[in-house]
Amino acid sequence: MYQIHKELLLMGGFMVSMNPLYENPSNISQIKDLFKSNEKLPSIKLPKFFSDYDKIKLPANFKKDSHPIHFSYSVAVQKDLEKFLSSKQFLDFVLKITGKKLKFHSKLIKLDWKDYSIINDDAIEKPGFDVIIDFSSNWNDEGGSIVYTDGKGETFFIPAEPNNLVLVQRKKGVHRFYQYVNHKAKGKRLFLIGISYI
Amino acid sequence: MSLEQWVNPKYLDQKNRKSLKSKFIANTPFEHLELTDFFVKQKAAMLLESLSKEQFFEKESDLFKFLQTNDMASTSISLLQEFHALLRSNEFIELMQDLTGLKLKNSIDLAGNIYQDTDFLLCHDDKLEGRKIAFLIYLSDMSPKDGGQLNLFDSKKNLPDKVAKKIVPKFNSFTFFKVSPKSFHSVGEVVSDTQRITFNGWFHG
Repeated sequence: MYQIHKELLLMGGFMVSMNPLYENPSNISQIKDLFKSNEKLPSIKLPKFFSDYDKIKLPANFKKDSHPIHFSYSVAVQKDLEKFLSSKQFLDFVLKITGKKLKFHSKLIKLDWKDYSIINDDAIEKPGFDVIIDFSSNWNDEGGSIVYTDGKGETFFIPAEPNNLVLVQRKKGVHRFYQYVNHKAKGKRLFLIGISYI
Repeated sequence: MSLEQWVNPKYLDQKNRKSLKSKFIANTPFEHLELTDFFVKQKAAMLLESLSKEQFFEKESDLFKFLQTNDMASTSISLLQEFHALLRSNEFIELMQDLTGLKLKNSIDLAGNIYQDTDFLLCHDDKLEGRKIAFLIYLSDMSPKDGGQLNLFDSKKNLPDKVAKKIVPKFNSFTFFKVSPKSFHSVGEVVSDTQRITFNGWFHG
C-alpha cells in the first residue's frame, strides 16, 4: 500500500484513492465474474468507489461544446482524475477485471437543460471500454442518463449516483448516448467518462 | 371526395400555385412553405376529432420522445381513411408537384403525433430512400412560450449550424419542406401542458 501511495504522490496533485474494498483479491475475483456474466453488455457498477470522494475538487468552469446532430454538453478537465485513470493502480485493477491492458482518454461532462448526445450513423464509435465515474448531486432524473443500447431493444441505463464507478465493454453494435435533459431537471448532472478503444 | 371539399380554394388557384412555388424555392434556410388555413374549417375540426379516437403509442429513443399512431394506411376510422386517400390521390399529388416543382409518386407515409410536456425531437435531416417532401398538418395552437416549435437549421458544409427559423404551431396550417442533405430540423421541447398535435409524414418520389 505504501508503494502505491508513493507513486500517486510523485505524480503530484491531490491523491485520489480507491476504496480499499476494491483492492481485496477476493472482491476483485467476484467483480470479474460479475463483469463477464452479462454477455451482451459486460459491465459492473462499483458504489462508493473513492474513499476520499468529498475531497475531490471539481472545476468551476466548463466549456460548452455543441454539434446539433451529434451532441450538446459542457466539458472540463480535472487533472487529478485524469492522472488516476492513467495510474498503474487503476489500470492494473481494470486489467484484472477485463483481461485487457487499456488506455483511457477522459473528460468531465456536465449536462444542463437541452443537453444530449445522439447515436449518429455517420459517426459510429469503435468498440471499446468505458469507465464512468459519477459526480452528480441532487439530480431528479429528468433525462441525463447514460444509455447503452444495441438498437434491438436491449438497453442499459446508468443513472446519476454520486461516487459510483461503472465499467462497460461496448461490443460491436452497442452504442452509448446521453439522454436529453428536459426543462424539469434539477440538481447537478456531472460525470467523468474515460474511453478506451480496442 | 374531391380537393375542393377538403382544401381552401385559394390554394387550388393555378396562379397562386405558381407564386407559392416561387416562395417554396426561395425560402431559407432550405425550401419550405407554411400554408395557413389550409383545409376547409369543418374538415380540419373533423380531422382533430377523428385523430383523437386513434390509439397513440409512446416512442422514445436518443433522438425523440413523443406519442405516435400507427401509419394511417391501417386506420379503421372512415374519415381518416378518406384523408389518407386524399393525400395520395392524383389531384393532391399534382397540387404538391405544382407547389414544389418536384416529381412525386402516389405514395405517402402518414401518422398522428402528439408532443406533451417534456417531449422533443432532436436535430436530424429526414434523409431516407424515397422521401422527397416532409410535411406537418398542425391540429393545435401553441405560443412561443409553450415550446414545440419546428426549428429549421442553416448549414455549413452539409452540417447543421444554427436555428435560422422557428415555426410556431398554428391550428390548420400545412407546413412542408424538401428533404435534402441540408434539411436539418428539430422540434423544440414542449414546456407546458399544451399538446402539440399533428399529422406528419412524407411524400415519396
